[in-house]
Amino acid sequence: MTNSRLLIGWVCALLVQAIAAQDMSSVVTKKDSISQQFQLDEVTVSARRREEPVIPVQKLTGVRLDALSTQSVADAVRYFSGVQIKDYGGVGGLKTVDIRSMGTNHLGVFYDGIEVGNAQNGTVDLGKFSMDNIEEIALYNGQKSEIFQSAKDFGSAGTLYLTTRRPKFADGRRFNLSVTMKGGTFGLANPSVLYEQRLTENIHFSANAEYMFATGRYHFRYRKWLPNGDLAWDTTAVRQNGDVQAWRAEAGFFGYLPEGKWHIKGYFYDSEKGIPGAIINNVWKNSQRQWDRNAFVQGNFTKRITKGYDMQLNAKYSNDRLRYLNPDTTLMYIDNTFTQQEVYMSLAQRLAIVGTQGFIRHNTLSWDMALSVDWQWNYLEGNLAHFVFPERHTVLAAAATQLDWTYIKAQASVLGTFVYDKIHQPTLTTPTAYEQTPQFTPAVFLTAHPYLQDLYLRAFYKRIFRMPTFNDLYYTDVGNISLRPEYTTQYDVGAEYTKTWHSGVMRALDLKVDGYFNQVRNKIVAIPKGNGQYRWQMMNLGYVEIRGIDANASTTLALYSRPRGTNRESEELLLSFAIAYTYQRAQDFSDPNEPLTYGGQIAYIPWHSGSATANLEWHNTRGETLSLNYAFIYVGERYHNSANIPANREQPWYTHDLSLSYRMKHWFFSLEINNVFNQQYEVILNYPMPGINGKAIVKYYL
Amino acid sequence: MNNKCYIKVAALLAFLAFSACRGPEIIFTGEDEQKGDVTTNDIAGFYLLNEGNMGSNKATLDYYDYTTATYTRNVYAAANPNVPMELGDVGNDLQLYGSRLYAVINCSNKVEVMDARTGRRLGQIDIPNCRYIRFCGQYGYVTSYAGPVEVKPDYEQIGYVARFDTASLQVLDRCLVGFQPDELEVLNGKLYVANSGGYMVPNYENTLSVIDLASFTEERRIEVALNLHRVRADRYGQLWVTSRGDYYGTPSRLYCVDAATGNIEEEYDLAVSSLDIIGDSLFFCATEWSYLEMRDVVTYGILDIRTHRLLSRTLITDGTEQEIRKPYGIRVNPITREIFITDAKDYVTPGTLYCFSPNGILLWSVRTGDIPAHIAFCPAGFFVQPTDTTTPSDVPSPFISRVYEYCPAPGQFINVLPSYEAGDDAESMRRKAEEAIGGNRRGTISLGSWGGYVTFGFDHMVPNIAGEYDLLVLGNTFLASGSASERPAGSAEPGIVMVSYDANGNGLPDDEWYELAGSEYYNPETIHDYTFTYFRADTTHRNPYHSQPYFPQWIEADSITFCGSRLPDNYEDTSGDGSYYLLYSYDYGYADNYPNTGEKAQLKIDWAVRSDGTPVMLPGIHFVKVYTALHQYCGRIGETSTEVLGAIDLHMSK
Repeated sequence: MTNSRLLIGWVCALLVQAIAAQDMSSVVTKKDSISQQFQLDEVTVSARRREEPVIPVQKLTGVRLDALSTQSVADAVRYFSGVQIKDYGGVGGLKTVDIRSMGTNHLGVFYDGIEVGNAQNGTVDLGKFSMDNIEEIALYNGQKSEIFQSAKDFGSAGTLYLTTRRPKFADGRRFNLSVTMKGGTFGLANPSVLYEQRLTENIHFSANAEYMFATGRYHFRYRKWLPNGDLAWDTTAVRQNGDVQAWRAEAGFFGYLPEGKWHIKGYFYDSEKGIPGAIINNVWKNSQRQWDRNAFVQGNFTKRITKGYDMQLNAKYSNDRLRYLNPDTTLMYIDNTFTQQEVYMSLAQRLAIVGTQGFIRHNTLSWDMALSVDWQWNYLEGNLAHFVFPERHTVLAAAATQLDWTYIKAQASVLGTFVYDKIHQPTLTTPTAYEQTPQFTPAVFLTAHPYLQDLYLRAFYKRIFRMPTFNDLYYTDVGNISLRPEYTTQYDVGAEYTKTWHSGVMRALDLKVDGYFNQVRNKIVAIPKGNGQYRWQMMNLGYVEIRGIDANASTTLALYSRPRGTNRESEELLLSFAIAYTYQRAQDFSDPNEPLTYGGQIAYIPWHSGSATANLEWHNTRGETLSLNYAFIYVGERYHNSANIPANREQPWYTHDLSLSYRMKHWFFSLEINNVFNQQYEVILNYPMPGINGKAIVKYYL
Repeated sequence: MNNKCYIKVAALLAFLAFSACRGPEIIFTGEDEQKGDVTTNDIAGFYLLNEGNMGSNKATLDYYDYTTATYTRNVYAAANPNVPMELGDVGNDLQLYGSRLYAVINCSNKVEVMDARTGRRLGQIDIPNCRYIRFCGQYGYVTSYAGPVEVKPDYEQIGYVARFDTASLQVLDRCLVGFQPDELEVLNGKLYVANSGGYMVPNYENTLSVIDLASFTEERRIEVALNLHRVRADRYGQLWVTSRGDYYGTPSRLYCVDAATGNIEEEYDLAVSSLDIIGDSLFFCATEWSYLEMRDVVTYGILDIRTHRLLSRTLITDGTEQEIRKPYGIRVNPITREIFITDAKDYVTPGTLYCFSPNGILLWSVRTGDIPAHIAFCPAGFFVQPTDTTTPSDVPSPFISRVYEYCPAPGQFINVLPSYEAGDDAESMRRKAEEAIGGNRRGTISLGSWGGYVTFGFDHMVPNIAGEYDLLVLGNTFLASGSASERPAGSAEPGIVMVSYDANGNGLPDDEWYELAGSEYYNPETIHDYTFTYFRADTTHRNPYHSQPYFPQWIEADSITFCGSRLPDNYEDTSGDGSYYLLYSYDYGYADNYPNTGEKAQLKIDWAVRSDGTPVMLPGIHFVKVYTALHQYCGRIGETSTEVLGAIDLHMSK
């Protein structure tokens, strides 16, 4: 298939869908949950119990998010079950997320509804995303509980949605302004400002800017003991070259339409940071630097066109530049710059085919269908020797359906992926084309609500893949153009019990458990090749099976409560707990001829991990809130490769964090102490993590 | 129900908090495995350096002990538990020199120096981006990628060879070479350095740098091929050089280069990644990536370095090669001829060491550290002596430090050179001999007729550097000028040279002796088990010029018996009347056989053979015994007797 044929195909698909929608819109009946949702205050949405628990979701939002000591999105994601963070330490260190042990490339990260891509290496550094204006983080296994979404939303094994604040105005206000200053250990200075303006009743403007500076210096200590218990050696040093300086600016317009909404926003991020590197014998300091510049413009338009037919359009252009410099004279000098561009357009549509809503709940039945088509173009330039300047067109088409009956909700979707690559070798005048085999991947989700009360049962199956990245395919010398996609298959069975009370001590209880079995086939791994130092070749050689359990429990207790009738504010002392626990057996079954690694737990995946948080919150009738928060994160014993021998064992680590915050009408104060017991630990071999550290936040609202 | 729930939650919390806590990080102090059979030979064992993948800081040292048939992983951490961050990141080369083990730790920018018998750290030499190491005399030579930087306009960083003092572990000098120099080799006073240019893609280097060791300056370049990697010298003055090619159009190759002329004598269509030369055999492993099959195509084989013929394209005969995923290093035990092949697998998980019999049958295999790569064989006796007697406390001397025994056969200079005085005994005569030939004094002692000998030693090990002259025993031979004969002749009074390695480490010459097989060793006329007894009363061969007693006067017995090899007579009575004799020089390999200044007088420890004639590859020698090799009497010039004026460690005198 050629490039132009792909485009034509996409346009045709859109037309057909639109016509079909017009024809069918006359026969469908009322379906209004989406439009209702648009009118709801965002805080209410976040606090409201989910209405569609088809797919297990974990969310952090609002007060709970504020209470956790989180500098970046990666810090927040640690509180989810089924997730492992690869954290290279420090403020500027790389932080990536591995969901249910399938590999970091299988997590789709969406920023305000549109995927943050990285065609070059497929992983998104979550350390780069500031928590400053993030209002909600939601993690879905499989995919989001929606069928009315872009085809890309169907395209990952797991998906992380980051939602920034959408402007909202108290009665009569025309603008909001807030100024925040954060400061702390590692030489952190992090001011930010947010301005929101109500332009018209239905059009709002928001602008947000942030500057972050940190020296990234912290003490770390390595110690080892002899088997008899004597100290063998003990050394303390300062983490060097972990400095970071970053600017971020975002601005957007947000509009409301009758039964619809739209937004358009621009994002700019520019940073320079040191790469602190591995601590090895005789080398305690590194000098590699990295510059990132990410810019994008994206927009969304969602509207009910006619009764029973909703559509949304998404579009994005992004331009990302990465410069990596290794000036270390004891290593190979490297000064590489890569620029990637992405153009993305998406149309998603939903048709309500059947919709009835009786007077009593027992009578509900609805059946929806959705069709989405996305087109994406990526282009990567680099100044590497023998670089091939890859270009990629991707068309994704998803068809999905949802059946919603009183006792059962079911979703099914199929995603078609068509990828067409071109490489532009400088030595050749014409580009070389590579067409990837079209892929069709299904997903099925089921939720049962058998007693119509507090218990939900669910199951899902999803088969999806990740395309080999540009680096996998075309990176000088390493890439392998004959790579096939890396497939994941997920089976999940789970149950949830959730209940809330309006009085009494126990106010909320939520228990969730999921068991799952995942397979990663054709896993793309680097194998050594040929005659020469550290030359690698990407190959589809790996096979991993993951068996896991995710369990979550949370409860809220009202220790003291004095409601006020007229005022919405009440005086309350609330104590809430949340626990997340993950058990994973993630086994490497790649090579039966290697008894040492066959069946071994894969690198950096602990068998046991979890988190526990406790929050004591007092709020009074003036709307002031005092909150004391405790968080515990635990990651059990792991191995740094799938040969599970003592030499490769990594110790468990666990941190205790405390924070105290006080919110008033115009001020917010917070004080955090993290890693209270000053544990010296590593998440990744030879990347020491900070010991005890602290942060203070002052925020002023106008 | 809720109460039960809390109990469960509490139980879970308790589990998390108490049963799965961090313990103290315990030093990993070695693991033993029994492998192979207990064997006693001149190689007591070997060290294996695991490189460890970059950034992992997992360079580790393993040791295999032949005397107990035990393979021990991670002996460095066990021997040096107090060294922070253990051995380091990426072990790139391992060499044993003297009693010390030198590990080049590339990304830790250092050469780690250990006592080879204990594995204990003695110190380190800081050399950034160091690659390979070789030795000559008291100096070590290390290649480094990290020379001065120039931006003209592209960033360039020239490589260099660092010269360090093995006694002080200080870098004394640097000699700039090409870009990214890899292996290096010492041959005949020159250092040959393989320049790779690996950071200069696509502008790779294609030369060997030739450094004159005396002046330590780069003399010239020998053009070979793109991206050179290994260079090994053989005993024929040839260099075996591998090129990695450019991974595109130019493939990886093996070359044979004449070191003297710089000519490429042979090019082999073999992507040799690892090689080892033992005797006349070059064992290799060639790895070439096949884009067709998307895997490495591996060839093992043997080349004859003398004839340049490819003798074999297989080393493994039992099918084990199918198991080896990433052959990385090859070494052959010089004594047992066992073939060791390391498998680096995927570079990030532990590798395997395979031990094959000389005919390619798997004897044993063992799990190693990550990326097993470099092997250094340890001579027997290294692990016997607990105290460190071989570590030089001072700068070693290139000359004889001690005469252990002086036991001449009767002769016209006996009791004169050195002189006997009444009351002298064996010990005082030994001391006189030492005073004569010890240090650089160059006095003369005579060994008398056939069989008479002197035993002396050095204060350090004279290393055996393959293919190089290691030792010179000074004599008093002159060549007759204007001799019409094609064969050099004059006053050659060859003495057979025996050498010994201080295997038990006691500093005494009580270890096995090896004969340096000179040119006449295989001459059928040479008598290898000759015995002769001299009697005090026998005065048959006296001559009128020397009137003192010819029988060693300090010996109380009335007879002395010697045994050893007797070379064919070398005299020619050119006068025809017994008044003038020419004594022909044998081709090579003897003391007092050529004038001291020429190459022909120099000796290679490579030539050592056991008493049964099998060659032996010694790491070096501590003791030398010289005895008169001829049993002939030449008229008025008397019996042929070897004279010794001293001895020199050639590696230290350049």
